[in-house]
Amino acid sequence: MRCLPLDLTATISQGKRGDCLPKYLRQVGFLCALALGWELVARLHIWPELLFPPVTSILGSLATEFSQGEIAGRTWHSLSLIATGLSLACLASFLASALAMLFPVLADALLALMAVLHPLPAIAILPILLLWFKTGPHSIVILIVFSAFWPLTASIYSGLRSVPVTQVEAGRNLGLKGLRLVWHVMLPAALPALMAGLRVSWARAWQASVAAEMVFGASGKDGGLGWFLYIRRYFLEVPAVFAGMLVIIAIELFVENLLFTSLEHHTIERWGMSSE
Amino acid sequence: MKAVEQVEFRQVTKVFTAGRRTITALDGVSFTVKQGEFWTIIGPSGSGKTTLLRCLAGFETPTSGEILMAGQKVTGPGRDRMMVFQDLAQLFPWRTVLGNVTFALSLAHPEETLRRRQELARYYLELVGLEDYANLYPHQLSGGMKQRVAIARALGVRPQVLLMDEPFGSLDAITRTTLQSELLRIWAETKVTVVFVTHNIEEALVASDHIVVLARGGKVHALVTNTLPRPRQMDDPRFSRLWQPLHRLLEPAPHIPEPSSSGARGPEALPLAKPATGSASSS
Repeated sequence: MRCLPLDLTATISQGKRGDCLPKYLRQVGFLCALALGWELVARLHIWPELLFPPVTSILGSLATEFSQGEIAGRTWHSLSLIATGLSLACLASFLASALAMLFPVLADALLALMAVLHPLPAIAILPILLLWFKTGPHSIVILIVFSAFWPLTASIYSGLRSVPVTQVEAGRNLGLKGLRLVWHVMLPAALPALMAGLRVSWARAWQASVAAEMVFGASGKDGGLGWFLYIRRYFLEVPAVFAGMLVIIAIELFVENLLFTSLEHHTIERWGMSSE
Repeated sequence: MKAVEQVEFRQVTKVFTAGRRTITALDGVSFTVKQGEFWTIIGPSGSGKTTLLRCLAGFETPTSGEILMAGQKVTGPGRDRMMVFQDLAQLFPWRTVLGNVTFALSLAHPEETLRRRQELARYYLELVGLEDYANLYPHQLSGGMKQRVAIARALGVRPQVLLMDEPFGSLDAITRTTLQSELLRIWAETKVTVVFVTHNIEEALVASDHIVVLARGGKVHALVTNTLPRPRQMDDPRFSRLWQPLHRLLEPAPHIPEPSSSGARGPEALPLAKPATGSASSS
């Protein structure tokens, strides 16, 4: 097989022979081998099939769940909660960071709150949320907002703080001030930090929503993927549990690698800002 | 050229406080710039050149004294005074070359149509010789090109005064010389008033009508009127006749004779022995 210079950095780093496959193909190969190994081990029946199902039955269960439409509905439910929570968190983070930039007193308050609340795992506030807001989708949205707000605010704020002074002054020279200066100059200049924060808070939001639904579910019918995992475990439908996990992984990979990466490719990489 | 007074410094003093220490960056600076003139501020590092320009731009407020812009007191940044910084990162990296200029135009001239603003932006890019690079992003440009875009962006606003803070200071010698002569051509074409900060005597002599020489501690050391005919050549013997005294004015401290023996009057003695109060002036 001939080496094709698909990726310059990969070509340069590939010193050895026989290393011609692109990196992602090697990774896919490894995962396929792992699945194959899993299948073999499961077929040996060392552990009961109920607890350690073969890959084929996991995939079969995935297909069944999709054809029955349940898993798609659950996924949609989870994603819509996360989308709502993340949008609210973005809005709140932007407002909080902008206000902190404009008023030093608020910056102190925000930093103090962040120091206290950021280390707290989001799921830890769930008992209080249950008492205050009862179970239901709104509690999960609040939890998602809480889990995404702190990492997002931390990165937006530090991003805004490290905007090159000259760009801010060029903006002021052009007559921009206040929120217009933040919007037209500081926010785009802080985009690399914002994107990094968004990646972290997206992952946190997923964790929070899945974890929350496992703890108290929702009113059965409206539950998301977390609830799906929980209820299938309850009925010992282990292949379906694994199928649910596969869906979660697939969504994570899709958002991480396609959505965020292509967003970055079209913005900060194109503008030569990604090294920051 | 009409002799309209455009920028007036009146006993401008700027003191910075850092902890318990106070640093006097400008000390009673006074001079008047007329419309269309090219002024250069030179001085050793730490003499307050940049502070002077930043006060005029409105980024700093003088501790005492005032700066008048067409008779109005300067209270903050404004589009009548556009700054070109030394920093190569002054362009907005998320906008193209053209986008940087049109953005400035859209803020400065919202009354113009979109099409008209595009035309104007292209005109200013042509003025700085970058019309073929309109769709590139700043990170794809060389340092000299970035500074050209910054000049185009500033001129597009149609300011009354163009402020330049060592704009060519980060560039190599050849690019620097090219941009100096380009700037002079643009200055002649647009008739904009220029206040230019540099520590390079040649740059000051080639370009300016008037030179403000600042001393350490922010006092005006001398106001020099440069009467050399344009275009100026560095091999002109008159050029070096002006260069010598300026160079002596800017000479660093070790070249000073014994402080005790000097009369503490001569400009050579200035960095160590302070002369009498008020702003110095010369021909």
